[in-house]
Amino acid sequence: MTQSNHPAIVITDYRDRILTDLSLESSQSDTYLLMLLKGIGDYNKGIETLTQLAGRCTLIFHGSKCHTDAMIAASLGVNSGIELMPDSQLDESLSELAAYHFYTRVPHGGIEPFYSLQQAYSPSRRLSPQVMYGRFPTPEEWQQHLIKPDPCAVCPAFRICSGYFSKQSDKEDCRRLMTDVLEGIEYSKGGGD
Amino acid sequence: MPNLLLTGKCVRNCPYCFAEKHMDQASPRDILSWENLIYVSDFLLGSGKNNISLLGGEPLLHPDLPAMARYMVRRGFHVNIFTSGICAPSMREKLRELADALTPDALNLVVNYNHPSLSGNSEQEAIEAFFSELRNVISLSCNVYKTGFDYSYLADAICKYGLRHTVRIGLSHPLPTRNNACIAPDRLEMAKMAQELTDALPMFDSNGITISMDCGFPLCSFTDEQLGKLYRHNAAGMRFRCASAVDITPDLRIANCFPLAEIQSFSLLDFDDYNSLKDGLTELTENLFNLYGGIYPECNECIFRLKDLCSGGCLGHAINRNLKTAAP
Repeated sequence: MTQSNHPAIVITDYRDRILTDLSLESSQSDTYLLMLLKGIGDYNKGIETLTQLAGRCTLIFHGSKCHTDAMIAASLGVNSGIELMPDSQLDESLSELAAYHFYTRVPHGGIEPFYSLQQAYSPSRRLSPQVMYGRFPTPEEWQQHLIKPDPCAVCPAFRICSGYFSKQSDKEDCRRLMTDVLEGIEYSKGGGD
Repeated sequence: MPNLLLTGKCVRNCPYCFAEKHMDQASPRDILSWENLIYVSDFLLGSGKNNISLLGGEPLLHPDLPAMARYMVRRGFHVNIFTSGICAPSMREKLRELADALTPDALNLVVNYNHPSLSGNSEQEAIEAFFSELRNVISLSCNVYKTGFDYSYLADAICKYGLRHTVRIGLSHPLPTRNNACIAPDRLEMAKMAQELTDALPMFDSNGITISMDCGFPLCSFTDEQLGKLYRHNAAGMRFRCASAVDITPDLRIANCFPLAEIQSFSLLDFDDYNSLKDGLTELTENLFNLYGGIYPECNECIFRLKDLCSGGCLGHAINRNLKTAAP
C-alpha cells in the first residue's frame, strides 16, 4: 500500500485488491479517502460494503469490470470512478458511464474523472482527466499540441483534455468521448432542464 | 407493479405457460445486465415507485439474482421474486443468506407451485428443498388452467413447510395464436371454475390462508352467493378488471403483459417516467378492449363492463376469438 497526500484527501493505492477484501471498519472516519482498487469483487458482499461507504470515500476502479463497478457504486450513493490512462480503451460503455454521471436525475454519487472535470471546469482553464488527483496540465504539456499542430489542436474538447489522449491510435474515439463529457459539463453548468 | 424479466430462459415446461413465445424468442445471452438494472431502478425510483417483481423465464437462472435483489432492496425497493423454486443448492444458500440479511417485508419469494403430478421426482425434490430452506419468505402462486383444479395441494404445502399463508390465484392467460392450456371462454367452463374456487374457500379459511385473485377473472362467471363468499374471505383480493403490470425485458422492451407483448412493445428508453409509460399502455389496452371486446360477444353490452367493474376477462381470449372469426 502506498499513500500520497492531496490538500483535501488521502489517496490510497490498493491497486491489486478488491473492495470486499478490505477491512474498512478501522479506517479513520474523519479522513476522506480516494482509493484505487481493482474492483468491487463479489457483488453480493460488496453491495453491503458500499452501503456503508456513502460520503466517506471515492472508489476508483481499474479492473475489467470497472465501468459496471463504478456505476453500481455511484447508484448506491458512493463517489466512484475509473482510472483513465492515456491508452485506455475509450469505448461506448465509457460514454454511457459519463452520461450516467451527468444526466441521471435521481441522487447518486459522482463518477470520476467526470465529477472533477465538472467541478474544476472554467472556459479559461486547461484541464485533463488527471484533475481527479488534483493535477492540472502544465503549459509545456498542452502548448506543444497547438504549436505542431496535431489533431488535438482542433478538437472541440481540447480544453478539458489538453492532449491527454494524443497517443490514441483512433482520435475519433477520444474526440467523441471528451466532446460528450464537455456537453455534459455544459449541461450541468446550465442547470439542465 | 412493474415486472422486470431477468432472463428468458426457464427450467420448466408448464402446459399453461403464457411467457412461452417470449422465451422461444429469447437469446441464451439475453439476461439482464447490471447497467440495465441500474437504469430501471433509477427510472422507477425517479417516478416514486419502490415495488418491483423480478421474474423470467426463471429468474434464479440469472447468476447475479441474489446480488441484484440485494441491490434493489438496498436502494429501497420491496422485491418480489416469482420463481419455480427449482435451482441449484448454491443458489438456495445465497437466497437464504439474503433473506437473513433483510427485514421480513423487504423480500417475498413467490413460488409458482404446480400440482406435484405435473412435476417429475427430481423437480419436486428441488421445490421441496426450496420450501424447507426458505420457508419464512415464501408465498405460493398458482395458475388455474383447467376445470377440475385441485387447490388442496397448496394448503398442504403451506402447512407442511410453514410458508407464508397467502396464495396468488391466477387464471391462465391465452396467448394469441398459441395453444397454451387455459380455461376456454365458455360460460359453463368459467362457471365451473368459479364454483371450484369458491368451494375451496372453507379449506383455505380453516388453515388461515388468504387468497387473492390476479387479473382475467370474468365477474359474470360468479354467482352473487359466490361473490359474497369471496368478499368475506378477502374483499381486497377480488379482481375482475384488467390491471396488468408492466413487463420490462432484459433489453428494456416493455409491454403491458405477456399476452399483449406482440401487439404492444415499446422501449423503456422512450419514456421519461413510469407514470407516463403506464398511462400510455393503459390507453392502448383500453383501445384494444374497444376494438376486440371481452371474452364473450355480449361483453360489449354488459352493465358490469360499462360500470368498469369488470374488463370482460383476459383480452387474449377476445383477440383469439376475433382472429378465428377473421380466418378464412
